Amino acid sequence: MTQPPTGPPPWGHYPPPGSQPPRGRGWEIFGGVVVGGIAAILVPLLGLAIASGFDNGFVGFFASLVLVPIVGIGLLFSTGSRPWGLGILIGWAVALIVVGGSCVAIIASLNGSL
Amino acid sequence: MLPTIDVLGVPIPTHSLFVALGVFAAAAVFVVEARRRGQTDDRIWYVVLGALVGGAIFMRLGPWFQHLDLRDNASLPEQWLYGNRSILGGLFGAWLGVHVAKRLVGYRARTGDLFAPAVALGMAIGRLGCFFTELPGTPTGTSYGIRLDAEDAARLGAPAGVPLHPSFAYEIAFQAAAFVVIWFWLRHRLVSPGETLTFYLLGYGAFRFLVEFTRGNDVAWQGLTRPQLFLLLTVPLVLARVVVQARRGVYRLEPVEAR
Repeated sequence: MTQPPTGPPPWGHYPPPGSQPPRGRGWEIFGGVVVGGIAAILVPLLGLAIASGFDNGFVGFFASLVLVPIVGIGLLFSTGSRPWGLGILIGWAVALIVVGGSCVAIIASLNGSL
Repeated sequence: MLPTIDVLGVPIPTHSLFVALGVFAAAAVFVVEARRRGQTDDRIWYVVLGALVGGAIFMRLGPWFQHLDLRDNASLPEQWLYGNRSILGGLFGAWLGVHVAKRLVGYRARTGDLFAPAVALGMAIGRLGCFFTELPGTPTGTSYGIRLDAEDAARLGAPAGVPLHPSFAYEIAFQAAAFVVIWFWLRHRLVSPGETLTFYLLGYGAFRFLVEFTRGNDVAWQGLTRPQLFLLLTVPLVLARVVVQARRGVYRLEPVEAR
């Protein structure tokens, strides 16, 4: 009598539900996304406004561009703040995709004035 | 052409507006599908981050390699700030970012089934931004071609008053159809985890190769544009994967009970 095949099916399978770690910090991640997305737009604008008063302000403006991801990465190191850091980085990346073109227009128009 | 849209009296860049709407729609679809499939592990958000960061980087740097002599290409900072953005580069970067993130956080479950409907719907909406702001396509003799006025024609480097292929409308129709097929049929029938994205990418790659003939991008070699050359290398790889998987008996269509 033919035995049924053993082992995993060739099409693979999803992991059993019990193998997943506990969840429930989704709202903190979502809050981070909102904060990160807004900060990714406002912080460079603020940096631009401040940097325009200095001779080498262009460097300061670029520093403001990387401030948000640096804060997000920093928050990843603590377990308590990790969802916020993750959310901030997601929000920053979304902003990079959505408003990247607008930022380029701002930089292009102000490049000579800084 | 519609470079800005007034929202409550504030002019919003049309392209960014529709990209944002596409991202929100894609996020909603992703969350719904992740919950339906029971993939609610918090590590999935690191995978999403990997996709977004990879996509954001490669959509800018993807079009950097334009000339075989590297000195003829723009510098990386110039490309980042002023260069074109590429959907194909973004998709490749997102795929790469997902694999890097999954390796970093030890997430082993397949995620292609979550990304496929999200990407299709997001692109269907996001491409509206391109439709309203970018060069529509090459000249066409059809009655439904888009005619540019003198100002838009000068800005986009196209002939004025000549009917042009609405190439972005073609793509919007494809993405919308792909979303409908995935959302209402394939995700309920395809047993093999993660393979929905494989089929979506294969379909989009083949479609994009064809629609490039109406897009109006620069011809790079032998009458083919750079996206077509990229697809000429990558689509056969995806197709080979499908063939190998099919021979292994991976693909089966049957009613799937969601977990």
